Amino acid sequence: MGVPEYKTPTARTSPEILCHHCGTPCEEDHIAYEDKDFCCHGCRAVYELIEGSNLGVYYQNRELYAGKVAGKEEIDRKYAFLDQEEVSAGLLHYADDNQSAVRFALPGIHCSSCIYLLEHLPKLESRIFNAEVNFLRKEITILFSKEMTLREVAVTLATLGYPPAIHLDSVETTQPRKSNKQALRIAVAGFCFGNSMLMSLPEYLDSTFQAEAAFRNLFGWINLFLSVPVVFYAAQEYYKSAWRSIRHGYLNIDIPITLGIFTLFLRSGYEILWATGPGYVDSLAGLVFFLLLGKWYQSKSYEALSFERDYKSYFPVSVTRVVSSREEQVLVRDLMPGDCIVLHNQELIPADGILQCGNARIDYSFVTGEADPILVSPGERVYAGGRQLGGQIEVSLEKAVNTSKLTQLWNNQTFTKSANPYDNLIDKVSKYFTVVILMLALGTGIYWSIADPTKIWDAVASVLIVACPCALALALPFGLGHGMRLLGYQGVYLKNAGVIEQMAKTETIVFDKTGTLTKNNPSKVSYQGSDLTLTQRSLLKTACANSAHPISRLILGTIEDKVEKLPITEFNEQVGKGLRAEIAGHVVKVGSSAWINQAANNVPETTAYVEIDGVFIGFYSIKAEYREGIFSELSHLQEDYRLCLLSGDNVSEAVTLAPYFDQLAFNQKPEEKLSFLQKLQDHTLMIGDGLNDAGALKSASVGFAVCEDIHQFSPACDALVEADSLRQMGTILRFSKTVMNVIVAAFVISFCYNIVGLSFAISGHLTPVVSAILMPVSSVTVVAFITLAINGVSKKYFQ
Amino acid sequence: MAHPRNLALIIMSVIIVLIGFSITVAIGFLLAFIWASGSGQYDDDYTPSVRILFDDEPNQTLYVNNDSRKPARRKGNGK
Amino acid sequence: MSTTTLANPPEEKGTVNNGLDTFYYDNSIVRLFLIATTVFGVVGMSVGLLAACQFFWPELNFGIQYTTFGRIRPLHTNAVIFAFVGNGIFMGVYYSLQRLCKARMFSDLLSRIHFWGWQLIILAAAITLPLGYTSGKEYAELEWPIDIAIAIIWVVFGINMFGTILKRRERHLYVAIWFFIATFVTVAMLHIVNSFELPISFMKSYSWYAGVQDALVQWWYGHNAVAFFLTTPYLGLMYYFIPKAANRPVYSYRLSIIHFWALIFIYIWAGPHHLLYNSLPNWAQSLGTVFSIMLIAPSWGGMLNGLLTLRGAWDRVREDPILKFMVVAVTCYGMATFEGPMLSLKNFNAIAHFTDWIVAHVHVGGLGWNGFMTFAMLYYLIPKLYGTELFSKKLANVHFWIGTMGIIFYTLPMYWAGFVQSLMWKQFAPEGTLVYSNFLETVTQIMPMYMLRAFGGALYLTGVFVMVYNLIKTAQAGTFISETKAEAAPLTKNYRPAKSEHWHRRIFEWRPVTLLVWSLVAVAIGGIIEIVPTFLVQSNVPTITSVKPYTALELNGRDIYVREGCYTCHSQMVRPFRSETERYGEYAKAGEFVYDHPFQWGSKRTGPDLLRVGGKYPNSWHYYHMLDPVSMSPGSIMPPYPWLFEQTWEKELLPKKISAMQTLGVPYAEGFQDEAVADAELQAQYISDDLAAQGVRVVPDKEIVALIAYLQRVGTDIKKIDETKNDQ
Repeated sequence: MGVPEYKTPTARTSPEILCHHCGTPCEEDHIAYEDKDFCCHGCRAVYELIEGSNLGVYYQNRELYAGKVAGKEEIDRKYAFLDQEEVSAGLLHYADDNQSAVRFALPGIHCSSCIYLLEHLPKLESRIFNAEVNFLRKEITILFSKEMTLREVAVTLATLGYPPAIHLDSVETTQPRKSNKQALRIAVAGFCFGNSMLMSLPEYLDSTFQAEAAFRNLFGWINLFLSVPVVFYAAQEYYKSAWRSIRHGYLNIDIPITLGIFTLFLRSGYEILWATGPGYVDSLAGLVFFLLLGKWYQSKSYEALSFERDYKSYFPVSVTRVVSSREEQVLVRDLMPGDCIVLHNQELIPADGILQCGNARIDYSFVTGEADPILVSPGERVYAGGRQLGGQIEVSLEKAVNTSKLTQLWNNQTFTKSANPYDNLIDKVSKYFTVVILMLALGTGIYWSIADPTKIWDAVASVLIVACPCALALALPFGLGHGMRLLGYQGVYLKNAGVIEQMAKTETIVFDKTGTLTKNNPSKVSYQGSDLTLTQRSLLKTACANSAHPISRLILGTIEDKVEKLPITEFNEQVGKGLRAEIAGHVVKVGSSAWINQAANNVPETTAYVEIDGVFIGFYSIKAEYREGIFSELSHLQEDYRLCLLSGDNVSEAVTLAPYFDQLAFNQKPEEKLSFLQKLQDHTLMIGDGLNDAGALKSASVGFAVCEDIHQFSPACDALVEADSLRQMGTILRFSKTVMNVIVAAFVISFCYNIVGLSFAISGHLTPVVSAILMPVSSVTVVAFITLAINGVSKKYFQ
Repeated sequence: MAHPRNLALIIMSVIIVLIGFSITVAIGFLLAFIWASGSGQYDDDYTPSVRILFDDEPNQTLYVNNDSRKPARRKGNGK
Repeated sequence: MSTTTLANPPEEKGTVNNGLDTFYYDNSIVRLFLIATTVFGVVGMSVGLLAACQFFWPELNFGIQYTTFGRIRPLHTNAVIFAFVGNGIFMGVYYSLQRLCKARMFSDLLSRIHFWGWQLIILAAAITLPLGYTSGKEYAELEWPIDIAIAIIWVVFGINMFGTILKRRERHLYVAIWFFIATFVTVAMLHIVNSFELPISFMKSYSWYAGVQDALVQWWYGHNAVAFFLTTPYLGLMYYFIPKAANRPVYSYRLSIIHFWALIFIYIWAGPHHLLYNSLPNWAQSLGTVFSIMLIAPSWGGMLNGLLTLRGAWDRVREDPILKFMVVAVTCYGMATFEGPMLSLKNFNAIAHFTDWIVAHVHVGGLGWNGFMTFAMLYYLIPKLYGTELFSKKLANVHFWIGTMGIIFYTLPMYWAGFVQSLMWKQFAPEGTLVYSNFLETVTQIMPMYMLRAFGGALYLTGVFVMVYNLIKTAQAGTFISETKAEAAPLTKNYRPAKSEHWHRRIFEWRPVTLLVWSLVAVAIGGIIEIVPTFLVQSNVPTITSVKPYTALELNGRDIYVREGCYTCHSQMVRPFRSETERYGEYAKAGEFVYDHPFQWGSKRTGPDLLRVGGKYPNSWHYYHMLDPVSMSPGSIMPPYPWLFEQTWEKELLPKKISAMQTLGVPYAEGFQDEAVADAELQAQYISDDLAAQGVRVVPDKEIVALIAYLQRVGTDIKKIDETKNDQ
């Protein structure tokens, strides 16, 4: 049975010269070495290393290029924190006097060649003794010598283009690994089932066996012996859960199951010890075995994508703190209010604080979804979750990490969904089921106490036995399990199977704009106006080069490399307005119409106007690029659902989007998005991205996080959705509906079996044979039905 | 040598001997399974199948068909 | 062909350069087994072809006893199963295990002992079987000293294997290794339990079990021998060599793991289906059937896993003969494992049992699955071992096609023959008499099929010769690499996966050896648990008072019957069908066989059933029939047995035989062993007198007399009941 696998990104194809190692397009001044081209010395070094240890075959059959090898010193700095005793202690899962073992997540693993290269690390680095890859988990377990530091290991991996993903939580809690107790339970149950069946078959197959008293006794005893581990080891979970539900005062499916198991056991025990019959051990073992299988399958499917994260996942493990003008690495969680920290380019602000020095351009897109960075001048406040762009800055913290604004947004109770025991179907059903069964048992008891008291116990026991809702309990895990698996193939990775149930109920779909409807990657830039002379271009280039504003970067992209940059005398930039630069005696202004007091033309896009020496030259229009086919999908969805749009961006796109939505809102701050969703009473599906939607995602009945590729971070939500899959959101939702219908149908089937069984039981005709046949047949048919139905449906939907 | 009669009896009930041996062997394998799953033998049920394709013989060549990563079953994410 | 050995003999704990062990795989042992399997493949199949030809050309035994069908048929089965396939298994295991464990074999000495020991056993078999030293149990004919040798060598193999697994450098035990382990454990058990026999001389012994019991043990063994000697090891090899040959991981490794455990837990129980409609408790038969049916699931899981591994690579299959062989092999495995369970269904079995259908079924597995998989391995290994390319891909393809045609020409005629003959046996005329009351008619009818079968076999063998040529040429082209250098990181003993400790970890360390110890302990305990109640259990075989032990002479005659391998063509099991009771007489009762050590029910009726032959013909008939079968039944394909008229039945061992029987619970009167010889001579005299009366002169102590004595006695005790009934 398959489990959703992580999507391996498809190979990039690009016309220009690609780096032989990492495949990134090479600049003009790239390194040619052994007739191969390399984008940087890092990559060349790795190539030499690999070739040198004749692992060259690595290059022969890789699916796609290795990760770009970042600059040595950059990597070094990145992993400096691993030198701290505390961190390494948290990460190492085994250590003795001369070696230690560590397990890293390497999102970079994507093909067999990766396995090959990584498992041959010892050939590349003598101090690494052994490296073992787990492909499906994208993990590597490395056993390395004491002469080597954890940091060096990480650096080695990063240098090969497989930077380990280390997060704060991986330090604090060694990631939860699946206990194999379950596998053991299944093994034991399966074993006992098989053998008890062997011991019981003669009884059923052949009447002459009744004569073989000696064998009957022996087989009976062996059966009894086999039933013990099943009842007292394999089936434990069910008693626990049943007991829990009773204590919390609600009825769940495990109660009748537990009742069934014990009745079966006691009844069989009695029959065998008093040699009155062969007992029901095979039914008992089979029941438990099937149930456990169901559980296992479900958990397998869940395990496939356990990406529950909290804000810590996005925070660096450690930052540089300045104490008495000396820099040191410190764990984020140890940061104290008042600490002064140094942030380099692209680093996250771990907690709210005051900017001390350096010119900060903070990109808050995590928090607010606003694309443009905000320029903060010393003395102003910066907020957790912001990302510094450009030079290094110093921030003195006001609060400790956990209390920061971001964390509050996150830990806000209203996001955590209500855990009502009856909100999932199976428990709803089983509530009534259990009641009915107990009633029936009681009824039968009363009836026979009048009709024929000697038969009471037989009848009551039989009722409890056949009522044992094995098929019922199997229907949901298998149904939802299949659902999850198939959705996984479609690039929708559910956090848990319950989500399908919620998806099916969806009435309103709320979209985020940036990164959901539009791509995050560079948008189209078009220039309109008088042609730019070479000088103008070089001026423009110089001006934009000094700005970290995304638009500036985009404009920069449009100007050829050969254009010279000029010495810049003065530069200032005002957020939301534009930039002004004095270059070689010219004044260059780029920005909004207001910034260069130009009459705004009615272009429905973000525009940047250019003025040189007070003369308006022209304007660049930046078109947000929407995902292919998103609009057609939207219009489909509109037929069945109510669509809303929440965008953190400005209204520039309103015109384009209006026709597809019943309700649009722009300039939405996270809190606003959150409250908007809370206002919606009906079943909502929120599709968004980035941390800024986190609140909204959680407060919606179902929250989908869109991600370009699975390995990039994603906020806590009910499902990860590959960007491409948005195109078939409608189909996916319809599929989820059908899955639920199939499950309901399966319920009906299993009820029928129960009714048949009960008719035997109540009339006191339930023999071991009947139960031995009924029990597996019902379970198997139900499971088979579900499997076939759902797979069939998916074939219909996803072609 | 035991009394012929008892021997005869043992021979008669050979079925039980066979069941005995079969079950004990089966139990042996059950223990084996418990050991295997317990010692993490089956934590990773994909990588080993790739690993056997690499012979760690110096200056060997590696041919791995990456297409065996079952992408076929994911039909290109919804086309 | 020259051989390069490294200057310094590589010692295992090789030079540690940058944290890696450098060590050397032992290829020479692989080559030894490779040569052995090739040679014995040729031998075993040639013998098979000879046997096949004797069906339509009985004279092909050259008039000597050592080459009669009854003696070379066991030779054929033993040669192909234990010599050809056996050496094939070891070849594959020794090659793959070293590489899967990233370690040299545990001990070169043990490897050599294993190899030469095994070849000696084969040699012994090749000598003793034609000489007529046989325990008379199919697929376990070898006599007790050889049985012991097999057990010892098998254990050597086990030690060597587990030793290697222990010092492995790869933590994960690839699924193939599990199949190897299963093979070792179960075959050891099967062999020991089934070979339980009471020696009376260096080369003669009696099975410990009698009649029904013996049959049950035998087929529990017989079935599982197929399961664990011909199937599980080859599945393990399949899981190694198919991915290697195709250069792609197995389709689903998870499935392969499930495949293994499912197979293991079901296979053991499926034995009894070989005895459907035989005198075995009904419930035991049905049990066998049910479990045989259940086997389809795991078997097909494995087959599909093997085939799907090649999905997307069919272009490669088209040009690569190795893959072609593998595809056909796996397909045949699928066919055989589907047909098997079908045959275990009573109504199928009623038709197919005792006919050539079974022969076809077995050969689909043998020629297709084991044969072709072995060829594939040979073609894969030879270039690897000699560091060169295969001499001729073309020839390999030729081999493939000839071989495939061979399989087709072998099996189809046999299926047809089996079907036709079975129908003829059962065909009644409207007035309720058998249409083909003369068994011989049903044999002559299928004679063309037998010829076609031989043709198929010849084709297949030709293919093998082509292969041998190809292999030799390849070997000559290259230089044998006796040691392959390899590097791997040593395994750290005290490694622990990052997970919470589990209770069982305290019980089992991660070493397989402790696992083995534990399963042995389990076996011991289980044994006790199981044996004790047997003293309390009453016999499940209804004893019949009128059934008496054989007389000394009859016993001697029976031993001759066994020696000549009569059971290979004649059953002694009349099944409860009208067609059979009509033809042979009263159907067989479990109680009739309580003194049969070993049972002689047989599994194939090339000739008629002999259970009720006793008293059917006059002594003289048997005399002439054994001297020249055609004289009594024209068209018979049974060879003459002239030597029975020259050799004298031996007397020295007689007392020993009797007391052995007594030990086994056969109620001879106390001290009868001493009168045995006299008693036998008396009976012999009586018979020769009777023959004389019919004008046949024969010295009483010729073997024919003893044989006649036995044949006249077989299955007559039941009739006595009827007579007594009639008297009242």
